[in-house]
Amino acid sequence: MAEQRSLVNSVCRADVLSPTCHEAEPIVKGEPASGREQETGRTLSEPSILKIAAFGSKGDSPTRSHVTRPEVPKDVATYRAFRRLCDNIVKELGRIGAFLIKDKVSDEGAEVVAEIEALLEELYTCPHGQGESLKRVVVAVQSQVNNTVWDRRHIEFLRDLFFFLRVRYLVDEAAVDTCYDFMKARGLDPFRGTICEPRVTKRYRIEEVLEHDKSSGTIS
Amino acid sequence: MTNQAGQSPDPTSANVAAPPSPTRALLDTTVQLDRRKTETRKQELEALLARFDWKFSTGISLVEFKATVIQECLTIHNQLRRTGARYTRVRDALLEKQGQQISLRAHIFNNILQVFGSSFDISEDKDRQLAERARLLLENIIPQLFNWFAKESVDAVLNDRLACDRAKEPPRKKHAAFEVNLPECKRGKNKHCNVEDVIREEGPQLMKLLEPHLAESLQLQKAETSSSKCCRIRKLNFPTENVAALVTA
Repeated sequence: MAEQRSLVNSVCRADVLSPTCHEAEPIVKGEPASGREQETGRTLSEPSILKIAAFGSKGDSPTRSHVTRPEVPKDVATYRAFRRLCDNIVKELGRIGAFLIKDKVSDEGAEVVAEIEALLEELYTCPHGQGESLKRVVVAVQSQVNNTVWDRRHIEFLRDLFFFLRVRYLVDEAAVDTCYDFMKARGLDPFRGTICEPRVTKRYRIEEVLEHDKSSGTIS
Repeated sequence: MTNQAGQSPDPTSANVAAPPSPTRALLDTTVQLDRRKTETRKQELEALLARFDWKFSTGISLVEFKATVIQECLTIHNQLRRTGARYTRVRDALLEKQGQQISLRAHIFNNILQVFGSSFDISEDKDRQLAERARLLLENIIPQLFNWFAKESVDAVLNDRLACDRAKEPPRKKHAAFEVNLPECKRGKNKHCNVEDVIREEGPQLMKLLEPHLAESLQLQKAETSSSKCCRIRKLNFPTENVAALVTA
């Protein structure tokens, strides 16, 4: 029996904090060993256990590396944001077809246009891509779609571009060139560059509200 | 070549009209600049050019295009890429300077760059954002301008005899700034430049061909009076007339 207990304790010490070691007796600092000392020759102090536990969880052993979750690399994180924004733009472009009247986006479609413009602004701040390539792509797109009434050409250009971009990991100089190729293919002027200070003007209106006074039967 | 009945057409027959000879137009730098400056001039010129079958330009015009509109874009870009640059300040400062190309610079700001903001009520942060966007837009536009001239605006850019290497080189972005690589044209100094030799050889013959059109063009008259000056790339003044050197053949 003593031999069995000794074997269990030694296994537990070697495989510290293992969930399979439930039957082993706890080792308490300062408590008499109650015969364990005679069996094992020495006890493990608490800091030693922690050291061993820390050693085991550092990932030195390849079999235990799955315990700690690796951090997502920066490139992957920015790509996710980039992909999400491209997907959202494509999703919005899918809705805009309903607002096309005589090849022009109607006033009701301004909601979708505003949403896409906001997504483009967000994409401008996304740090994905090589150098400032993504920013250049966004600036090129904005030069076409800002301050104009959208028509079929603008929508087709945006569809071409974002179907191309959303499945692309590398955003570099070639992406900028492709953006201009799509622009020309859809009959847009690559030299149109309309960028202005973003500004929201709030306008207030004072309205006279008429309330019916029930007691007197008059309108005040 | 056969007709519908399977018989060979008689070339002497009166029914067969001689194919019209293709009309050709030589587009000089002024015309090319005007096509990019304003929409009204562009429309006039496009309507005029639609009557020609074949449009061509020369390597010299391409170098001049680089030395004017692309160089001015580079000047603006260099100011905008400075640390903490503010768009409205850069624009106002560049447009207040004295020089031959100030009007061209204004055209670039108004009709090519098209970045707008008032210096009176813009905040510093917004002004810097505009500067960044204008700089990025210029980085897109500068290569596009060269490509437009060399590949899209004309059917061909003739450069065989002149063999001007500087004309072939597109503007290239180095680490931060652009490089346009303009030649220093000084007579007798640049030993590799063929322009002087070509004009010496071909000049008299060319002027004979152009004589009937001298009255139509102020620029051709200037060219005749200053024909002794061979290499004038950096000294040319561009008159505002639109159809300076459209030559039909």
